[in-house]
Amino acid sequence: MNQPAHSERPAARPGSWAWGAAVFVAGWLVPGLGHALLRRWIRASVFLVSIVMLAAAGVWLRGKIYDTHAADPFEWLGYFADLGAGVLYPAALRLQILPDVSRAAGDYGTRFFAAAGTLNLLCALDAYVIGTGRKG
Amino acid sequence: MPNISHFDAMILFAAAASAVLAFLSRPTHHERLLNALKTFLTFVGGAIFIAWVLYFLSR
Repeated sequence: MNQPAHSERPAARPGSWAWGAAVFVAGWLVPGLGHALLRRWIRASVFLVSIVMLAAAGVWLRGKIYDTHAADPFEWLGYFADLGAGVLYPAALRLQILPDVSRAAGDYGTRFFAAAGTLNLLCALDAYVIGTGRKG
Repeated sequence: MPNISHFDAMILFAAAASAVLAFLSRPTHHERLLNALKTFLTFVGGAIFIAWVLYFLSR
């Protein structure tokens, strides 16, 4: 019962730095894609659904999506966090109506999108570690 | 303007974050489920606890 969840399938490719970097970039661009390339289907699905859900909620709640016109270091941090969402970032910039952070919901939206970006970066890093063969 | 309560927003965030963190940090399905549940309850329980503390502090 407590067998590792990935033990039943072989690694997609032998671990190497290049393969790790490739799955990192894929995982960063599209949430879950890095793990899908590593044949970690369940993880890939969970990451895709959770991260897209958070990012979509962020846009729907009219959160602020930061761009390069940051006025202070915190806005730069927000920009880098948002950038972590990969292709969801330009999509959100396009879809974003006028952000409204004067209400709590808009502020939640800003945090939700930043959280989606940082979680996606964590997932991409996990894909990198698996891709290099340092984690099963 | 979309309307969402503070509680709904908290549940949404806690569910998504706890699922991702559990799948990143635990190797077996059983451990992941348990960890996701614990993290979710910590998020929600912690927020409710802090809300009550702030409620009494503000009186």
